[in-house]
Amino acid sequence: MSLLAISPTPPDFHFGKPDLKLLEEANQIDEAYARKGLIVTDPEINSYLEFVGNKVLANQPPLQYVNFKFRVLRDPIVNAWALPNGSVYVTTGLIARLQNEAQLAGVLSHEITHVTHRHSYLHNRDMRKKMVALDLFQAASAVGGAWAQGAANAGNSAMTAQQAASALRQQLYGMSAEIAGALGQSIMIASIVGYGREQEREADDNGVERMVTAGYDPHAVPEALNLLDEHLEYEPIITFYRDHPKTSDRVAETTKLADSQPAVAHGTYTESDYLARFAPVIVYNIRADLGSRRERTAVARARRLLAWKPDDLSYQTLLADCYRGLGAKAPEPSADELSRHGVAVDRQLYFKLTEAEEQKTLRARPGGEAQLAANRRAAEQGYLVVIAKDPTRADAFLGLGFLYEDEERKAQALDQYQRFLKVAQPENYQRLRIQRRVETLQKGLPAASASSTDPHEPATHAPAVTRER
Amino acid sequence: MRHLKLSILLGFAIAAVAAPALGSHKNLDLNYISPKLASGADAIHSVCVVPGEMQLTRVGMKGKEGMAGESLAWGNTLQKIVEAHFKAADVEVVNSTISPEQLDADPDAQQLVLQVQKKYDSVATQLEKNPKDIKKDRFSLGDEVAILPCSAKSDALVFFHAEGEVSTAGKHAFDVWVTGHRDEANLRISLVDSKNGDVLALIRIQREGDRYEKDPEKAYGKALDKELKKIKIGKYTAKPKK
Repeated sequence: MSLLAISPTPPDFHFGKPDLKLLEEANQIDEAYARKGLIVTDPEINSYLEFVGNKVLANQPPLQYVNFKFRVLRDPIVNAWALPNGSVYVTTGLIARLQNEAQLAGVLSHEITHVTHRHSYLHNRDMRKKMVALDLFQAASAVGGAWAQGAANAGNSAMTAQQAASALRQQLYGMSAEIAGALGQSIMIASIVGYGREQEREADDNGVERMVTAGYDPHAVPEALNLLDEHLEYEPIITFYRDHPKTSDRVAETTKLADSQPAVAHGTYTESDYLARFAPVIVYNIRADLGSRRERTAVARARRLLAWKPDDLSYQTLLADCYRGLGAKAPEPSADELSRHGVAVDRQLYFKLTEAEEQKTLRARPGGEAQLAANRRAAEQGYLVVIAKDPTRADAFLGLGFLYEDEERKAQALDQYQRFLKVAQPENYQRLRIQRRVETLQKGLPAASASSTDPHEPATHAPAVTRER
Repeated sequence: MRHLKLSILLGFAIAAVAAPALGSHKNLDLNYISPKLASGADAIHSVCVVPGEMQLTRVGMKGKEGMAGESLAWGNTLQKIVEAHFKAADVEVVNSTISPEQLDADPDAQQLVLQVQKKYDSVATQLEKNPKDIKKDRFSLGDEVAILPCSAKSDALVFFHAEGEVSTAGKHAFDVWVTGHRDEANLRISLVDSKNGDVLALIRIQREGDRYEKDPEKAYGKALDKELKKIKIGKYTAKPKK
């Protein structure tokens, strides 16, 4: 008998009008994700996710207005959430972080509980009561605040703030949360960013129970929680269940719960099997990380893929891309960066500076130029190794061309771009971009140097701002 | 005592009447333009309109609700209006390859659009906070924008976002008499060089009241014409100084 005190699924949940409205919004969010192309459509990946999801659903009796669906969403932010209609989303960022099927099952178990226990609806009802109170408070303060509000709205400050907030929301939470927030009530954001302390705890506890029932080692739940507590980058917002309650407390609690379970034989779920299933998703996510100022995460994930398949040339090229993307950033954060002061500095860099300005600032720091040079050499080495093994790798020529152009080695950049154009498929979407670069470089180079092909020509100096990130 | 009560009542009455006026928002039209566009060094005669983000939210006394169907319809109307006014400024609109219908049928193209939209989002925070820095040519998406099929045929990419609030009757009455807040909608249009990704211009149009939803052309039409003229595109292109 289980020692867990699992709160049962609310047996007689009665749907009111606001609940049905929330359900409708959840369905609209599903449609919006699909319309935007945010849902991964690979049938193999989807059927595997459905398989794991259905395994932890086990003997779940049917619930009114719930149709469980498990999907991967294209979003580099490490997150997972469930909508009240039973749609469970796991981001590519989270897939790339987890190590095996059992951990994935742990995440799904947690999210399923939010659905079965109707957390969205309960949270929504609670929020609606608070909103009325807020409106009354607003009324009470309106008289005093009218002057200030009028003054603020007279200029463009209010407009600027609102629009900046929208843009910021999108950058912080990702496109998925932005869509949900726009379509739905704040409750939909709560589903994505996290519920209250008690509901998260309930989901953890119930998740452990589901793991045991499904034949997974329940210790995978605290393992997954531990993995989420990663500090490679400055995180502008703490999403998922990383905040309340504290991860360390939850790890301790779920470990205790898992330890209390009777010892039974569990299946073996290896990282290798997991990577074999999700490698395309992880590759997508590495690219997304590179485009979202999460270069260290990209490096870590690419290293993982390469450790799994050291001879894979596409992973070698990807890792080289990641080193190039790091610019003057070290692959791992220093102890200083992890300190409170360091986090504050990183926060400032993230919010105040554009990506190019951030790189410029990093380069101006002691050791910045050396770090940039080291990253570039690692990238160059990676590309050259790939090209030596397979001289038809368009992506390696492309990366090397970008690298050389960043270093102002224009003749060599031109050469690599031309090689890219020679071997790339006609439908390669980078063609136009590279043709334009070739034209620009050809205009700026004397005829003789335009034909230089020596890849070991020493770097002269790097430009102030990296052109391609 | 009676005098005090009367004073309080009078105070509330004045506040109730004054608050809407004091708190009311003004319609605002703003634009920010890069020196390259202002000087005529860059000219925009054709644009590719990237599918926009349009969101209407119903605001009631008990919170906000999504309006997915209405948002979609509003967005489609708005996109047509924006395109029509670009055309009226003699700017060719070449977005046939990335229209929503095309993207539905072509998942690869949809992913490219998503990639470029994410790139835009990554600079949007700083851009929205410091739009004046467009004058310093501070913002760029990089030449990655060239991955969009329509990039080759256009001078600029157009990213546009619109957000609007629609109050329920109860909330509307409450706001009119108590907070003075009225429904409002913001439309933002950014023009990005389709070759190097530099942000060339940003237009912001804010409208209050419910007209933006019921008659978007009336709400935005004139302002769009005015702002497109100010950012010097199409037939309003500045002549480069010799």
